[in-house]
Amino acid sequence: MSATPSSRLLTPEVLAGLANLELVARTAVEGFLIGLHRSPRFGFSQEFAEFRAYVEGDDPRFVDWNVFARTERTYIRRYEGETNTRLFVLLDASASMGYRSTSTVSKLQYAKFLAAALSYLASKQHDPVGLIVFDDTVRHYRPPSSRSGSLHGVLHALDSATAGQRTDIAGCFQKFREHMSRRGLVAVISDLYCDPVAMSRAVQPLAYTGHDIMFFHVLDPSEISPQWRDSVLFEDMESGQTMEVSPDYLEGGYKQKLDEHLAGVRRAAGSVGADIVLARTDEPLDRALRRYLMFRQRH
Amino acid sequence: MLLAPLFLLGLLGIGLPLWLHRFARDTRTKEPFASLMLLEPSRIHRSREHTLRYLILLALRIALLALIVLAFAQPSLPWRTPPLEGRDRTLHVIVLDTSLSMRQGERWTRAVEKARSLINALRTADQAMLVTADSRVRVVKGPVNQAAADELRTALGGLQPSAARLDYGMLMTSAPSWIGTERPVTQFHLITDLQQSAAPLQFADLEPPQGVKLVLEDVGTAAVNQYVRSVGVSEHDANVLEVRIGGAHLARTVVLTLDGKEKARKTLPAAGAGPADAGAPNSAEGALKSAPLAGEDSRATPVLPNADTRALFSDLDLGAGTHRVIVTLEPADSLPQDDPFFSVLERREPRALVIGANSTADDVSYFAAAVGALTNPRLTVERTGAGALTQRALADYSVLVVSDVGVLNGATISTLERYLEGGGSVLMTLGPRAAQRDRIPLSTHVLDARSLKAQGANAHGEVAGRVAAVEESHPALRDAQGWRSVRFFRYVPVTPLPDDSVLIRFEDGHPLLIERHVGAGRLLVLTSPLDRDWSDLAIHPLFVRFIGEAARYLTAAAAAPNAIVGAVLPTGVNGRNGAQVFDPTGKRVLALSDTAGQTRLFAQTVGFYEVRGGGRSDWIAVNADPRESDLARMPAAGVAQWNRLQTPERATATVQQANADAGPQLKALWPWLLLLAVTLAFVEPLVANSYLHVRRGVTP
Repeated sequence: MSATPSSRLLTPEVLAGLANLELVARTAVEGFLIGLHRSPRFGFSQEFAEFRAYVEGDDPRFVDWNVFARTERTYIRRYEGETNTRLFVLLDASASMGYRSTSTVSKLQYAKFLAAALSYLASKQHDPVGLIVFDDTVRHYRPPSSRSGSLHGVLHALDSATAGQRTDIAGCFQKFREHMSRRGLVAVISDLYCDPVAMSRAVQPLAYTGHDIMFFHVLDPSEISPQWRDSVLFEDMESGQTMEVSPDYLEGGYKQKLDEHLAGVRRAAGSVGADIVLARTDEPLDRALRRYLMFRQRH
Repeated sequence: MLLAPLFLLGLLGIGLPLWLHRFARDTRTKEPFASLMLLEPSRIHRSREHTLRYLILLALRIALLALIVLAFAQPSLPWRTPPLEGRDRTLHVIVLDTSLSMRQGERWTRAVEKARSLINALRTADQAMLVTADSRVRVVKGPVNQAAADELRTALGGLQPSAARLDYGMLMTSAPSWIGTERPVTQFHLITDLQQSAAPLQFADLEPPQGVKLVLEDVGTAAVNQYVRSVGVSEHDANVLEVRIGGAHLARTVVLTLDGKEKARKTLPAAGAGPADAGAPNSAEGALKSAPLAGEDSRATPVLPNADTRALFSDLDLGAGTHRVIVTLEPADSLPQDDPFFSVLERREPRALVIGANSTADDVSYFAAAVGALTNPRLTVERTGAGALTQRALADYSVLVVSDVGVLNGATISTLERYLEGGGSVLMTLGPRAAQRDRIPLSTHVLDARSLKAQGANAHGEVAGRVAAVEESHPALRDAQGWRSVRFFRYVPVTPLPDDSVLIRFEDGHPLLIERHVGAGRLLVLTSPLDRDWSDLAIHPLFVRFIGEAARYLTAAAAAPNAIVGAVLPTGVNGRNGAQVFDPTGKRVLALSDTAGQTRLFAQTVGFYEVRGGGRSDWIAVNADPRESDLARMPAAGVAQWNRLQTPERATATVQQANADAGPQLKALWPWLLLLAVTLAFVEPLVANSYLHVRRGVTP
């Protein structure tokens, strides 16, 4: 009897105790892949996908040299998932991402774990991985590359990312287009505190240029279901503004507005053909990774 | 009723918690949150529970402040005391004199009877306390009510007079501390023999405490007493024991017991028989001489009835070591407790050591020859160089002679210092080597000038100094005439220290011979050596006589530490030198394990206390205070004056009594308020913590 995924995979708290980000990514992904192999519903990577003649532009690493030796014809052997997709990881490192309530990891930490895991997963597929760290501007850019050592560069950049200033997703997406000329898969990891309509408008050009976009909406458990028993004076981590809020509002009005906001960003994502997944910082990474693989299979 | 209403201004401080609570409401703790985008400001309605907690905390704080302020304002309630206790109660302080003199005749019996009659006379509302007084004041019982008078009688039956001395001044000045200040009308019954020697130096010390009526209960009668005042070695002869007998002149026998064996006895002449014959033969081995005190002419002055009689026991042949001497007057008189006198004498080995730069030097030979010429006591003389001094056990020598103390080095100086402080005797000279030092070894004298007093001297007979004054009464100089004819060409000028005795002085005031006590030892310092270039003392006939007398003086048996009853025993025991102490009955009064914590021990009984420790036994003689043996009574005028010292009887009522007369007294409430405030001070943090805990609470 196999264990359930939730018990098999490491929680964010455990991952936070690991020494470095590469180890976090390797631990999370390897555990996740073991779960996949035992699952009858998913096939991944090593299953034969196609066998076709070599055309110019194909990666010579995929040439089936055994067939070439027998027939002197050059064929390409492809497996499922080896579709040579560029992965852009867009990491929101704004001040709001530094929020942490009672969980061990902050949203930014969780986002870094997720980004590292995605990068590691892509690297295993020999997919080029690029990274953009942003808040109200692009703070770090690393072009996609599949060369050996590029993963270390990405992980190092992720490791050094800290919570910065305010968020401006719409503004940043204008700049992303300058860096993402070739189509690929764009993983946006953010808490998406922005206007969904403006976000949709900003993402649209990327979608039109052929990018497949996936949003990882990272939220803290206290943001999803706040539990204050008394009135509380909140201070915005980005603007510094304060606001006294009653527990009654947090129970009713806030949840309603949050649901509306989540629905709004889902609609905005859907309008541009993007996928969106809500990632709680107290949950393991597997849910997000599964959604990522499913999304990748579709595209 | 408030005794200090101005302190109520402190109630203004209540504004502080009010302000703090308002301030605290305005300064809420901020909780960081990711974004306020989805939040809306709420109108806060505090729950009734939280509001109640808030108000309770505020009320607690206000109450705490108010209670403290009220406590300082000293509120009081009218309080009416029971009229019986307030008006009629009298405290009778019955003080029994338990000093040695109360053992005389029937004094103690009369004192106990008097105390018993006072107890029997107590009224129903009265209180009484029983106190004994000698060198210490002890509250034996009380204060107790008249109903418990049997306890007083029982305690009275167990009392006995001690051998200690009472000082009336000490008793009266200490009375307020053990009677107390909160007291009803107090009568101080002092049952005593009104001994003259118990009166203090200052008459004002006899004044009783304020508001206390002194009642002197005289149980003494006129009496004569004879007692041994002291026992010691004669200054003139180390083998003669001098006994001084005080009090009345009675025809009694003086019995000398040495180390537990009776050595001599002699019958004293009665009063009116005139001075005893100095050459009267004794009845046993010793010879008794009766002579007037020093300074009196025995041929011209008869022994006065109240003057001490001196008895000399000669040819005792005290060997080296410690001797326990008991001198007893027989037969017993009306105060037999002071008839025996205990003394401990220590005599060292009759050996002398002469120390010089080397053992064959001329000055060492001079000294050795002079000391060796002594016949009484005859000393075995040894010579040594300063370098070989540390190899000798100095405690074996009764006297050391150091020629030019400057030849000693640091180690030998330390050895000699320990010898001196331990009770040794040293005769030393200062010479050219000593003059080169900033401070003279052993004596610690400082040179008066850096240059020697030798600048004017030369070989043509000019002298640097002549002797101007000689203390001829000193035992070391008694038989040494002719100091003024000795020529001193050079000498080491030193400045005498404050506790020095200058025995011989030059014309310019500088000392030639100094006596100094270092610890328990004696030191004679001669500021000129025997060198012929410095003086012609060595070839003067005076020299041998002087050295002989000085050595005899220094080797005389010294009295070991003695004590009187009630004083601290000089046991020499401390945390470093552990020992056991046994009292005269053989009972251990200080165990070895107690030494580290208790080093002070008070002598309680007369006799020999034994101190065992360090592989040896030392003895300490303890005697009754001789002033207690003087039974002379206070003059009637003095007693009348003492009675007049006390405040008039009208004023004896205490403040409490006066208040009782005036009406109800005031009962102070501030202690209760303060207690309540302390309780609130403990409760307040608990409530505050609970309140604050709720405010900050966030559940995951």
